[in-house]
Amino acid sequence: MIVLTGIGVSPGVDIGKAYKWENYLKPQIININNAEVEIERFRQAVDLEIINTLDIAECIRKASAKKEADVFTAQAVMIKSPELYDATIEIIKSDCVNAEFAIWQAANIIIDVIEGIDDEYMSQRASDIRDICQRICTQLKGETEKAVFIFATVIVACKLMPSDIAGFDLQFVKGIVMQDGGSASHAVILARTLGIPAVVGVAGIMSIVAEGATIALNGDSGRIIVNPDESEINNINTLIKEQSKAKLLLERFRGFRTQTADGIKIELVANIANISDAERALANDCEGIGLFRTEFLYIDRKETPGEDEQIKVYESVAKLMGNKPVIIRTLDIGGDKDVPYLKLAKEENPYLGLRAIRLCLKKRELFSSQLKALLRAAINKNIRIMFPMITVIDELIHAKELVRKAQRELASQGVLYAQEVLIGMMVETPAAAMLANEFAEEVDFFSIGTNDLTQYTLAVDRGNQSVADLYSTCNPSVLKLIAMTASAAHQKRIPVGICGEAASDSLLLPFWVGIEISELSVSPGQILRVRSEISQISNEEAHKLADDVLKMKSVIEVEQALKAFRGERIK
Amino acid sequence: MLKRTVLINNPLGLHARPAANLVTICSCFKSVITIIFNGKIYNAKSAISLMMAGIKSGSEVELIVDGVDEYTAIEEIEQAITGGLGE
Repeated sequence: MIVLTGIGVSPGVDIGKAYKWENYLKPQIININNAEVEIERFRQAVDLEIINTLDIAECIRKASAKKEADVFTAQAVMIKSPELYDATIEIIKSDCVNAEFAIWQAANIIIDVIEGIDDEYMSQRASDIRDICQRICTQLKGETEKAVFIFATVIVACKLMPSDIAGFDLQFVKGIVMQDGGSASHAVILARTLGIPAVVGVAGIMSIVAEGATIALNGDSGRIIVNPDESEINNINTLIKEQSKAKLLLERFRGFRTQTADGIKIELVANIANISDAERALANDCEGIGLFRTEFLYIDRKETPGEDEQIKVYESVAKLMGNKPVIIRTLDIGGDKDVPYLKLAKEENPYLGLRAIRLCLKKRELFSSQLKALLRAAINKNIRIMFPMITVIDELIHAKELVRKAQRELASQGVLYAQEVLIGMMVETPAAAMLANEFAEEVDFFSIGTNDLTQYTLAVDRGNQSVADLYSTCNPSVLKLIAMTASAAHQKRIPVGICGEAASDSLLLPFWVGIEISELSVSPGQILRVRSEISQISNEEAHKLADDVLKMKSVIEVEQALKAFRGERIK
Repeated sequence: MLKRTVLINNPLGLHARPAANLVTICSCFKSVITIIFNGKIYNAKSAISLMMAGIKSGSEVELIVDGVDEYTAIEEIEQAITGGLGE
């Protein structure tokens, strides 16, 4: 038995027989006599491969991974690019070599250029070229049959291409282990979409594993066991059983509203940072978007995104959601992020510095373009605007005034915009929580950011190892501020949500129910789990729990009470 | 011959998918269509050529269209680029 550790990139536990997949066979150089015949062989292989590539695209599209399918549609277009196609023919002609060797000669020049681009996403696309060449070589060999498995199989490879995965008979593929690899490769994304556990970055796996060896993998922890002993196999089988049971149980909650055991409804929405997150949230049955972080639009580029570019992103998320609410948070950025075009000064203490709404109120043009884009995107859509890190009431009033100003400017330019749009604020500073009554007069909704609220209340940088143990949202002072905020919202009859990590914390869920939080915003993968847990909580008991907890004075006391509640009531 | 400066606004730049979409559109026209970026000329009818250019989001490129259908071509291509090339 050998235990190895890699990076878990697609969750789940499973076990199977190793199937070693060797790609990238270095093509042998063969001198040929008749270049014309070789060129014709190459042309036919390319034509066949274009049809094959479009077939793969269709096959993946049916597995409802549209983005991954588009990759193949694009590859079908790439194949006949002169840099590859014409260049290969040219090499066959001038050097009198076989097509396999020629195409890699041509491809390596392209790959070198693409890998030299100083943009990680684009340079990674060299893998598309490798993928294409690999498949054309397979066509040249004349072998296009799928690898067929008749028992549970774990694929072991140096590196897999998405087309490799699509080429397997997936019915018996229980897992994927790669020696190389990052978490963002198309193959990994495809594995995740198909629900196949995957672990990457397992050094030496290709030489350690023998073909047909038993191999168990855990796609959450990244643990791999080669030839597990009997007790390990029993462990794994138990895990597999639990996992499939849990999955089935969660699926029962799909398509239903989120409510407590005694019928109190809670809106269960998702935190997202881009469009693919939104797709994932929808696939997990979210009831809307509770926090759309817009920072990605601003990071890793040379200048501020234009209004039109922003509108497209906001609109596409809102369209995806239909009439479900989409809360978009305005830019939350500060001196800790490197955004050269904003010329942010390096600060000694960026979390207490010029960031989020403070920065936006200083950089008027930046803020105004985002507000205008939001107002224009919100026409006939359920888009709501939310301001981050409000500390004092003047900031909120000022920001709202800038929304009206943006509306006036759009009107005077004759541009269409949403006249009525709901405006809310994040409650993530103790200052805002203390004055929640006053703030509630000014906004349409609150959303409590527990991560920052905890850090600011307890004066703890949770990235700092030496004080990290002080960081706990279960601290009574943090919970009291949250409860104050909730009760202020109830008095003014505005909704109050939670959008930090604590929103999906199993221990805290009953407390949120108990203080009548109306909306929980969680990461897409947590939605069904949170819905199932809420369905087991009784509203009445949760209220009693909240009353008790709010009288406590230490984290340990609170945690004990929460654990006891969960232990007694939730299996 | 017609020239126009256009902004590439795809969030991740002109990577494989948008490049392939641009090629599909350009290939409908008879004109010779090229893109100048950072002083180098790239064939807008070749997806690999465009990928080798490494055009990032927010970059301006020069679109050059030369041929019998250049007037319709430049309009449609510019529209497609500003429209995000299907992304």
